[in-house]
Amino acid sequence: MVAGVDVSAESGDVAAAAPPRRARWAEQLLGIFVLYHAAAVVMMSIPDPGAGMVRSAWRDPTVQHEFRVWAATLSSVGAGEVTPAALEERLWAFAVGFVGWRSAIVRPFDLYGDVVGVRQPWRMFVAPHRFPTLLVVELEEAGVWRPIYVDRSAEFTWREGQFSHDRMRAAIFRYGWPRYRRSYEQLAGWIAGQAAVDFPAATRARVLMIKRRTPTPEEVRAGKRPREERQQAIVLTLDELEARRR
Amino acid sequence: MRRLVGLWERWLEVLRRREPGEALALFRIITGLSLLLNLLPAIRLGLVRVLWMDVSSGGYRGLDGAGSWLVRALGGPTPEVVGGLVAATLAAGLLVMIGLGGRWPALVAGQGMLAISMINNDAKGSYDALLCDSLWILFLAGGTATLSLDCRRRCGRWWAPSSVAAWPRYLAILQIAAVYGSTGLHKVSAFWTPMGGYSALYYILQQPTWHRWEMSALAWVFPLTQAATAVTWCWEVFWPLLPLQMILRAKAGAPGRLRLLLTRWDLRWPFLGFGVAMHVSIFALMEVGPFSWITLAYYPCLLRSAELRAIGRRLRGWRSGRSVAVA
Repeated sequence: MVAGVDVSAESGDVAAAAPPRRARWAEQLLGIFVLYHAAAVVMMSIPDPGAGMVRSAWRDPTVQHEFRVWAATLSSVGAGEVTPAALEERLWAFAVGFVGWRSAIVRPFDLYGDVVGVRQPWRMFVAPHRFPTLLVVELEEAGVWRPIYVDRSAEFTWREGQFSHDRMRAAIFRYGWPRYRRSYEQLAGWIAGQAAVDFPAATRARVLMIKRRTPTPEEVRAGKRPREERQQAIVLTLDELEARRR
Repeated sequence: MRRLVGLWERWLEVLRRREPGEALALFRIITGLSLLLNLLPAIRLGLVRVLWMDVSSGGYRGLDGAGSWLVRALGGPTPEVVGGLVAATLAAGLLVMIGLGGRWPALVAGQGMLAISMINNDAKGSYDALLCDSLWILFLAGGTATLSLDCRRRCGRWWAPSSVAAWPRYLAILQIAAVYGSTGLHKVSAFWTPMGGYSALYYILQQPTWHRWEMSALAWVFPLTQAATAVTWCWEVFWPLLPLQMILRAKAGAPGRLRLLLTRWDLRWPFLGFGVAMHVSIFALMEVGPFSWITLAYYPCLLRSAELRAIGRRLRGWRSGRSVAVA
């Protein structure tokens, strides 16, 4: 064995403990099982467009920007005149076919993956979100609105610990996308409920997202800041929430 | 047919291999610790109720019909079920870390983690899935042969030269190769390529969801982030080739110039070195939960026992050297 290679057996430094002798049939079963598990891991690791297969999500500026870059690249390398819209259509058709093919391939492993928990969802940082959102919570007290929580703010930090936990961040990140509207509304309801308890004098709560294009390095160096847009605003009356709670 | 039978026999021969258990023990200890790091902050911040219980029980969203087979079998994510699952998973994670109870705590912890993470799909991360993978491998492996309380009870000391089956460690190597390779292939954005100016990491580090603090200062070291983007993408996409190279290197003396060229350098060290640097950087710059630790738990599985012991000796030497210097 070559020094430093670890995929072969090491026996030199193992003292006693002789390997347990397995029955032949048990050995065969183990052989089949380990192969099946390895195949499950490999097959389920085949990239899965999964959550990205929502046509409305493809209209997001971040995704549209991708189409523009790829279309320009393809056009420049002699693939003919490729427009972003045509590329989007072709990619959608390809992705639908690919998802169907992938589902067929992983079907024999579905039950195993679900029961044992060896699904392989490695869709991590597929693309930077060029138009990320920030959660903002505002309260109305004596007719005046004021922020109590702004994502990543050092000033408006109500329940910052909870909102900053990575699981909550993952949820808030998703709720910037239109397909999660229902869950976002539920989160807003929960936030308003908590605000009603923590700020008894408040009359209304407003939960919204600030969407802003991430500045390019050139813009940062030039001191330019892209325009922010307040969206997905939900206003809830705290008296009603309080009454409902009682 | 005879060839197939021969292949099958060789496969069974691979499964019969035995080796010292340190790599698996380290995998077990770091995995158990990662599970605690996964659950304890959520408990401390009062998020168990908020994230994993239905809106009728104080959660933020409706969770009717949610959860793994276990949660459904237990009657849904009621406060009693979720509380019980969290407590059992935490206790099992502790047992996994200290190595008490053989393989069974890993099964309980894995099923518990799977059940908890599946309750609210919006609030789960890839680290939950990787943790479940790790715990399933540990259930298959056992992993308490050495550096464990089981070992201490059995032999009267923490370390014992007992042998374990090698195939669970091979599965761990396959698993981590699948994680890196797959996540690399998922990165189809132009920003990971020259077309997008290798700007993916710069923009990802500007995302308020993930960064630890505002990082616009990176604009002044943009070329560094470009280099990191290019290297990270290549490192991830080519990671599955590492186990293949390890297999080729294991067959020393086999003929072929190409094989000789491919096996000339031990690529584990550059791959592992970059991986450690990358995960430590992710931990320092981003808030992505315990993903880095769960992933790093796999790294000892790429090393032989003798190499792990040599690293241990070097660390001890470095520590005692430092104490002498301080004194």
